[in-house]
Amino acid sequence: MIDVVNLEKSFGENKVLNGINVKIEKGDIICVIGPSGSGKSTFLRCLNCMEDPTGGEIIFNGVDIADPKVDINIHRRHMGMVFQHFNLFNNKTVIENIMLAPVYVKCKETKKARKKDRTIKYNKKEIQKEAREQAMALLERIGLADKADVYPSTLSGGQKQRVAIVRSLAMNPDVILFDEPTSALDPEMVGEVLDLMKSLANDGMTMIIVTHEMGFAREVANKVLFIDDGQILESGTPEEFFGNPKNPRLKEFLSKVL
Amino acid sequence: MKKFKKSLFLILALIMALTSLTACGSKDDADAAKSGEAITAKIIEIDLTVEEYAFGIDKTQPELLEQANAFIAQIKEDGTFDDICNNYFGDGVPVAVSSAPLDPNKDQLVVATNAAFEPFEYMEGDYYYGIDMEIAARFAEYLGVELVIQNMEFDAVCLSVGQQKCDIAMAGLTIKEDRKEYVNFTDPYYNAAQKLIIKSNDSSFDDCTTVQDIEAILTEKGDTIKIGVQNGTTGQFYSEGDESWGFAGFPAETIGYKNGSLAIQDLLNDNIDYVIIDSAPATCITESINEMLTGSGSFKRKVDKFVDIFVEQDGYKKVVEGLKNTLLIAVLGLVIGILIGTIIATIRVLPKYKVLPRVLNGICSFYVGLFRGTPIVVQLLVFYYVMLPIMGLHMTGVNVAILVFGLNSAAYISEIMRSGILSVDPGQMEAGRAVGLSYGTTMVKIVIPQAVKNILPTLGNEFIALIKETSVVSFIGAADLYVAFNYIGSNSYEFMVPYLVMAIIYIVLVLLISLGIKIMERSLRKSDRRS
Ligand SMILES: Nc1ncnc2c1ncn2[C@@H]1O[C@H](COP(=O)(O)OP(=O)(O)O)[C@@H](O)[C@H]1O
Ligand SMILES: [Mg+2]
Repeated sequence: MIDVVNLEKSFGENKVLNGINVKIEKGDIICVIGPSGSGKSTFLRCLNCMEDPTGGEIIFNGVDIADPKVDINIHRRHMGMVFQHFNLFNNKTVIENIMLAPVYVKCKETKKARKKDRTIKYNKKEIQKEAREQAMALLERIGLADKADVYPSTLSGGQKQRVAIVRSLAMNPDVILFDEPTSALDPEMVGEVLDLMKSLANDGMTMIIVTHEMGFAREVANKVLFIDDGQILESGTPEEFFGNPKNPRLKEFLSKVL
Repeated sequence: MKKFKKSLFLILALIMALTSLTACGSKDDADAAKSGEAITAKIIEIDLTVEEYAFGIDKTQPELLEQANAFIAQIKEDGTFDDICNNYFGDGVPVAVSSAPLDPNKDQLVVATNAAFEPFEYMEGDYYYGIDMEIAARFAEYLGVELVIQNMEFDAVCLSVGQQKCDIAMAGLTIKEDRKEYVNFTDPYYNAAQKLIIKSNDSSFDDCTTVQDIEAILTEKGDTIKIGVQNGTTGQFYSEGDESWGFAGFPAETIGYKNGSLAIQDLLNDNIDYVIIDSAPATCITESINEMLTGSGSFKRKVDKFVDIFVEQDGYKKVVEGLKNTLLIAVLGLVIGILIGTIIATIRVLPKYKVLPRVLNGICSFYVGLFRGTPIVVQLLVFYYVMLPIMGLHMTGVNVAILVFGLNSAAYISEIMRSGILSVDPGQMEAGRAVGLSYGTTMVKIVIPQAVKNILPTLGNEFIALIKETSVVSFIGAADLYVAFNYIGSNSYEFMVPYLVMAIIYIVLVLLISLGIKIMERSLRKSDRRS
């Protein structure tokens, strides 16, 4: 589904990604680990062009989205992203956070379609109603239906991150990118977020997860990548990766974190 | 509630200040009574200069000049002119003249004047009076067109005819070489003189019999004295010296006032030593001011006079109109400012690695620099007197003021808004982009609402500053609060009470706005905590 070919990224003189090659198939759950500052976030952010790659290709569903000419907004709607610091919209209620993008995109698409075909009806109320029902269903799934109308500032970290996850889910994405989703949480809240991610994995969602939760990676991932110095130094199934690491740097890294 | 108490306290303090002034006034009167007489103004009855008044005609209308000359000859011939003069200098009764609204589609005579020059032009209520105004009415009748009177600062009278905003200047205008650049003068219709006005307890000029005597004394006093004049009038040229008039001038410091009564007021306040103004208005002003000064309870008389004009002569209508214009300019200016300012701020925080944002950013920086680097008065004047004529557009002073204040506040608000946008967590923009919203949509739906909340207090201060700054719009002929109270002042020759009331109105306005902002902030904060 995503084919990363020779991906490079420099910030001025500083070359952060140094030729990354990886193939991601539908249903893959890929965990990315590596020391801090090694380029994990940059790699993830290049996948949906939050950072524009300076070299290489990212073929997403057959289109090279690294090409600056493509309308990236359309492709991003099929790629969810979950941030370390949740980044819920502070000026919107919980349910508005979830509905905002689906309603906006649906309205835009319907209007566009209507230009070509006058028989298509445009009814914003209807679109909003559908989106609200979907959002409520998602909130019920994470047990936060009673928080639908509160502002994010009143939620706990774990609740915020779960809302952030269903916010990206609401767009029905093909893949969700997670950048250290539990690193900013108090320890007692890590579990609820990981549980939600596991349940997504069971539903067959494709996920790419930058994480320091080795236990989670071992249990859930079907492929683990080790990035250092902007390169993938080792990749494999969790069994070989953790059971029989070959790269000396990975060995050293694992000895520190395990 | 605390705020409310504070406002109440402030207003109480003001009222107390007013009352103590009254008390002061009566004490002054007591002192004056002890020393004999209150100090008043007196006119030295010697003509300092003799000059000719004429009307100034738009240079592109030579046929109007011919008609005006023929008309002047006719009214001099048939005694009409003497009748009109008798209304003001003799036992006649002044006739009210009204102005039709300006309408470019109609055949109209548009007269430029400065209606603070009794007995040639002045206002009472909505009506114009004065020798020039009565002539104007008859001239319009003679031409068979509607009369429109545009009241403006004296400095602007010739200019506005030169720019064809008006057809004819009728403002006690002396024929003068440099004014001929702007207008064609008609034949003279009146010979006027400048007179010296001094304090009643000043006897330096008692022995003077000729102009030379007076000039000798004034010259001798050197540069330690101050002479008050009305801006742009012959008195100013006479006092400062002017080659084209052949005036040598005096070493004294010349101080310009908007009108003669302010100058005489300042003379009596001991801020200047002498006043030199046109003889006809000098007589009217001195009489009125002296009448108010002599006798008991002078402050009460001032208040009575104010109330009289405010209520009886429709002064309140002017004040309501002025208040409306002041608020209109400030509110619409703020709205325009917020709209344009937000756009500029958005452009300025755009990522700058492409060419277009960089060019736009350059334009915006230039815009902000331009409007922050020049005083608002300069912007108003340039826009009204330079840009509009160049573009061939006609706009009312109020509309120009709204536009210029909008553009001006946009420059300031853009900076406020920019810091507001920068204070919003960049993660908000990232999250918006990550769900597939464009930069602009995320900005409008997510970032700017949060930015506005952060900068609301600063934005409120900007609005308060705006309200106060609007008090300069009279420079381009917009009738705001200042113009309204100035009208009351120049009609009563008494500015103390009108200006005090004006200050109180401004304070009340500002307090109300601060209160509004407080309430808004509180309700916004509530929505934050709602659970
Ligand atoms: N926007 C940026 N501008 C300049 N340098 C950056 C930027 N983002 C990341 N970097 C640099 O890229 C390197 C990798 O960062 P990052 O991908 O965040 O590492 P990780 O997520 O693995 O800790 C770091 O040295 C960081 O300083
Ligand atoms: Mg990182």
